[in-house]
Amino acid sequence: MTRRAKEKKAPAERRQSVTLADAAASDLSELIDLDEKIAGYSRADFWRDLFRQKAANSTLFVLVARSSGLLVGYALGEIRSWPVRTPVCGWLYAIGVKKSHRLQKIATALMSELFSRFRQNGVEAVRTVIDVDDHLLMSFLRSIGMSAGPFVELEMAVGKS
Amino acid sequence: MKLQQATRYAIWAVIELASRPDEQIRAQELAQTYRISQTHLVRILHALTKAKIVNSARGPGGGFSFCGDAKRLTLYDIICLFETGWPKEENQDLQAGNALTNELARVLHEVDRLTSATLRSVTVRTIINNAERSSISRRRTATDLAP
Repeated sequence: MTRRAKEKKAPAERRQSVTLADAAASDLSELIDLDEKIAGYSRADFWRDLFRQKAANSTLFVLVARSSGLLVGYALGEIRSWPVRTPVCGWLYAIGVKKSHRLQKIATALMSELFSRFRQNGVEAVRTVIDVDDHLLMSFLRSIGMSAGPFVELEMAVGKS
Repeated sequence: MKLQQATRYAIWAVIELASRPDEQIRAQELAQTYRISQTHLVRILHALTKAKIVNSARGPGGGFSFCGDAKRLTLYDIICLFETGWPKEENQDLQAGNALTNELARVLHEVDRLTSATLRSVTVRTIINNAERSSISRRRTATDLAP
């Protein structure tokens, strides 16, 4: 076996059976817990609000990955327009995999499924905005083929009223 | 981004060696492939050997091979070995000065931060995989356009 083949084979050997599915209302509390562990802070209100919107928005995708019944990963994306001169595209809002289940290509599988949903809806490009200091996430996104797009995020403080 | 010649040669050598993981490649072949000075390249390969990124084997059938972790080794890691002033200290440009020099330093820091983040996120494996993807995509396009 070549070194390249070993590199590819190693995570697969450790991979447990993982199933991907659209998130259901019953996944919400587990998803909030997992997201908090990954992000380091709670975004419970964000996820609850998102699940409310999801029922009425067919272009909002929340995918979950389960292994042995446990929720071990998620991906959140949406197809939407943007107020700049660009065609409608898919947006990746969040991707996360439980630490104990990383290096098993779960995030890659989630992204592949999300991109497939985008393609099925006629979208040809996907974009995302990430923390410039999150080198791990940026490295993952680049490893699957993403690179810098034509937009730059700018910000400023507007002060308190 | 302007990199020193040695840094560019080091990146080329590492990527070429990592893309051919089961081969011992002679410095002469690498130098010919990239049309660069063999003497200069050998010095760079020895620096990479010292950094445990490359292995060297003497004798017939000998040469250089990649021995690092392509999924972990980033462009930033290679650049830090060859560029002076890397890794850049946080706020290195922020010296006591007036408002104008401070604002200029802030802008330069913004550029450095983005550059550093980009280089830290691109691994040798990513470069190789993306090159393979582009090559497959170009071949498909050529096939599609063929009469």
